[in-house]
This record gives sequence, C-alpha cells and structure tokens, in this order.
Amino acid sequence: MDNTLQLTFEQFAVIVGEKLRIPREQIQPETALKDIEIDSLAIIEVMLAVESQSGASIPTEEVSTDGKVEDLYQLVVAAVDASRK
Amino acid sequence: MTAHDLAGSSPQVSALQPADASGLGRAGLLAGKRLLVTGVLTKSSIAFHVARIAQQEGAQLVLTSYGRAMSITEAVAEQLPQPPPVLRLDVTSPEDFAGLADAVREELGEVDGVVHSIAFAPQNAMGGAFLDTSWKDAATALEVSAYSFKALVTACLPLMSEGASVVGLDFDATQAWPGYDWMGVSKAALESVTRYLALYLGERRIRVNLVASGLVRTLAARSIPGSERLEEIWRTRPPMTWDVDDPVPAAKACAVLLSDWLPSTTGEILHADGGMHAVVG
Repeated sequence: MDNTLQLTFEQFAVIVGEKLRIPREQIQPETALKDIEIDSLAIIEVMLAVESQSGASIPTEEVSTDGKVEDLYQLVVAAVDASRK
Repeated sequence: MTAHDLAGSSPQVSALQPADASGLGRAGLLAGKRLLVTGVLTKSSIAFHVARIAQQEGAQLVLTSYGRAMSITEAVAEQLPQPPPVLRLDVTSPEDFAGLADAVREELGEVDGVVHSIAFAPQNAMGGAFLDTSWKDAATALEVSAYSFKALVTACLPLMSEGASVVGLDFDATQAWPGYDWMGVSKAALESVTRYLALYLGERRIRVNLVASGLVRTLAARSIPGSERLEEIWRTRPPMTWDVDDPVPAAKACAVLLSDWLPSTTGEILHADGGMHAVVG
C-alpha cells in the first residue's frame, strides 16, 4: 500500500522556513537558494523533514545549491511521484 | 542503486551469507567486530553503506558526527538495520579527540576497526582555483582530509589490539583531476599518511589501508565545482562499467579490509574503481 503523500508548495515552504529559521514570506518559488543562504547541509535537513512528512525517499545527491526554491520543490514532487509507481 | 551481493564471488564468502534478508543475528564476514565509522551523512554516503553492510555482516557500530551534521547523521542512522549511537567528533578539535576513546569505550569496549570517511576543502581550494588558493584554505583541506586520519587512529589506539584494521576512503591521487585541486593534494597526503601509519603500527599488527573508490555522486562529490566533468570521465573511461550512483562496490571493499580475510595487507590502496586506475582511457 502506498503511504506517500504529495506536499503542496505551501507545506514545503513551511518546512524550509522552519529549518532555515527565516520567515515563510521570504520563500517563494523564484527565490534563489543562495539568497536564503541555504547550503548543502541545510538542504539535507530540509529533505529529511520532507521525507518524514511525505514518506518518499528524496535523492539528495541530485540537489544543487545553485538553483531556486522551485527546483527543490520539483525534486520533491518527482520523488513522491516516483515512489508511488 | 545496483544491487550487489558478495555471494558467488567466493565460496568462502558465500558460505557466510545471511540466512534471512536482514542479515542480522548470524555469523558474517564481520561477526563480532566492533567498529567506529565516521562520515555517515546521507544515504548516498559511502560510509552509510559501509555501516549498513558491516551490520548485516555482524558488526557492532558507533558513528561520529559533529555540529549541524550531528542531527542529520542521527536521523540517517535510524535508517540503518540497527540504529547505532552517534558520538561527537570534530576532527579539528583536540578536545574531541581527547575524549573519543572514553566515549567509544563506553559504547563498544574495545575497537576492532575504524573507518575514516572524512574530507573537506573550502570552495576556494577547488574548482580550478588551484593557482590562487591561499595556504589557509589549502591547510584546512589537508588538516581535515589527511592529518585527521593520523589523529583519528592515534585517538583510538588505546582501544585497538592485534588484528585491528583501519580503513580510509581515498580518491586516486596519482593523477590530477580537473577541479579537484587541493582536495587531490590532500588525498595524496592521505595516501602517504596511510603508509606511515602502516609503518608505525605494523609491529602492533594493526593494519592500515585505503579504498580508492571511483567517483560516487555523494554530497562530497557534488560539492566539487565542475563535478559534471568528473562524472563524464567516470561514465566513459573505466574498463568495467562504473555506476556513479552506486556506493556499494567501495563499501564492500571496506568491509573486506575490515574483516580477517586480508591479515597481512597493510599500507595498501585497494581500488574499487572499475579498473580506471590501471588503464589509459
């Protein structure tokens, strides 16, 4: 039985905000990851929290700190979709 | 990830294969071994798979981590067959090293094996900045990635006796890799540190070896600026197909070195790289 749960962007942004300790409003799809000072360790912290909520395994080796918040979110969406197949 | 299995490669080893899927609770390649494993950060870490395979082969573990990585290692450790304790160890902290033996003794008693999977270089020390890298940045890379091997081993020495095995993770330092820069220099230093550790620990019959892994897309590899070029090299040049998403071959090589099956091998670099080091591609 599939127990994975797709996250909305809002749910994802809340996790990012909590892990980075920054206001939710600063986390928009177009926000550059460098602008919110997210490094590779912070990305792993975020993805572990996402895994815990979604039940999906997120391939952190695919993540780059060069992109935007939307890129991270799409990685999550794809990982959840993949785990349902 | 490609599934590999030790069975079939050797009748001796296959006789030790698990009777059940988890592999827990039976005699294995590392049955009864007490191991300290550093460098578990994500599920793609080579060290994570060393830890997983070691537990499946019967070993008891402690992990180390520090700082912001501590909570990450603790969370990832929960995904091992038997979540091990995670001890604090910042390899630039003499105080952490001073307290390590007591902390490990409390968890394991003695130590039969140590895995060093620690490397770091500042961004200015990689990615093509070789000619402009400051001594401070180069020194950081050397301290964390090479000197720490000596420091870790000496910190654990009070707990190690005859037959103990130390294994470090290497990336072939006999040639210059684009963008790897001072990390490559640090790996060359690590290889030399290994030979000296073998020299000074030989009379205690403690073995010290490295596994030179092919490129694996871990967090460490992804943090190398221009790592795509390295990935392309590793996808096309090794004589045996090399899967950059598979940390298992390197992890299994570590498990063999930690076992009793190479009792007179020390100061060695075991390549788990699809044969890349041996050929001109």
